[in-house]
Amino acid sequence: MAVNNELFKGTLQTIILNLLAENERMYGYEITQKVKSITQGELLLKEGALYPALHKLEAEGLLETTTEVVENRLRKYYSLSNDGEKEVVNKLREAKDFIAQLQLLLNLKPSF
Amino acid sequence: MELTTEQQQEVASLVSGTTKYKETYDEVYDHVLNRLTAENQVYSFTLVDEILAEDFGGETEILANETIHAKRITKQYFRLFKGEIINAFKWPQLPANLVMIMSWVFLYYTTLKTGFNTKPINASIGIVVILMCLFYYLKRYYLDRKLQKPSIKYSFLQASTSIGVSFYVFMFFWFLSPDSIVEISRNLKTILVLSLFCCTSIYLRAFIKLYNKKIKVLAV
Repeated sequence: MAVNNELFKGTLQTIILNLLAENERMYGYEITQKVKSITQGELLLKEGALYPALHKLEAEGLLETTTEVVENRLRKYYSLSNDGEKEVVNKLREAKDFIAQLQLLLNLKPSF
Repeated sequence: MELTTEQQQEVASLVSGTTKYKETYDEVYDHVLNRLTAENQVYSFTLVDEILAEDFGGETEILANETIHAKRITKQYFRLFKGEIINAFKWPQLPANLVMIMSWVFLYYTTLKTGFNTKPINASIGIVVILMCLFYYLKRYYLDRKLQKPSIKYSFLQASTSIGVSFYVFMFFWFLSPDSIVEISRNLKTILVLSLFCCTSIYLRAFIKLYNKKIKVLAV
């Protein structure tokens, strides 16, 4: 069963920042494929949400971009800026706290 | 699927029609080609249309998102530019700027009686700021408009160099030209030219620093 995309809208920035913290630099399509492969297709990251989120993080100075010519076309790579590296720690902590609170609210027992 | 050169050109022209800025075009074009390469279907014009609609919400969404992105990124560039100007008054740039200001003050006082020829300095400031602005004006309105799509980056560069030239033109016609609107004493004119030189120097160095640090590494 596919996960309702509405549920992870609020954590989209955290997902992007965390992926970039683990992968040094990635391009848009690569991010969507990575999410698809990690979640085994259960979670589909829509490009209509991904690119605006990437651009917002770039404008906030949390991401840096570089371009490279790949197969005769320009490819834009995103990577964490110094501020982004600091922010990813905060965002992950926030997400973990939120999940813990959610588990309490829904009376769920962690599976680990 | 493997795309032929003609098919790639067809995709490029379709993507070009749905985007305004070069930055958006490059990103969407790369994405669509990646998607098409991964697809197991036969290439068709409508497939590209479907990808654009499915992944990006079609032309309306793409244009709306790139307008927001252009505004955000331009605001960010100007914030960084302002930061670089403020850095001129902080360590380690402060001593060099103080020396420059002090040397102009010294020059002013030692030439008070004999008079100081401000024309070469005035002309050099004008030439530098006008040439810079002219370069980005041509890049933005000629190269980017006629030969390719306009770029968010060059729009910002053109706007930021226009600030310098607007300020210089204002100062020149109001106070510094021989037929200036406001007539001021020769000494005051000298002070204005030397101050303008200091401001231009700080402005130019901030621009170069920003260009080398940020703009150069951002997408073209």
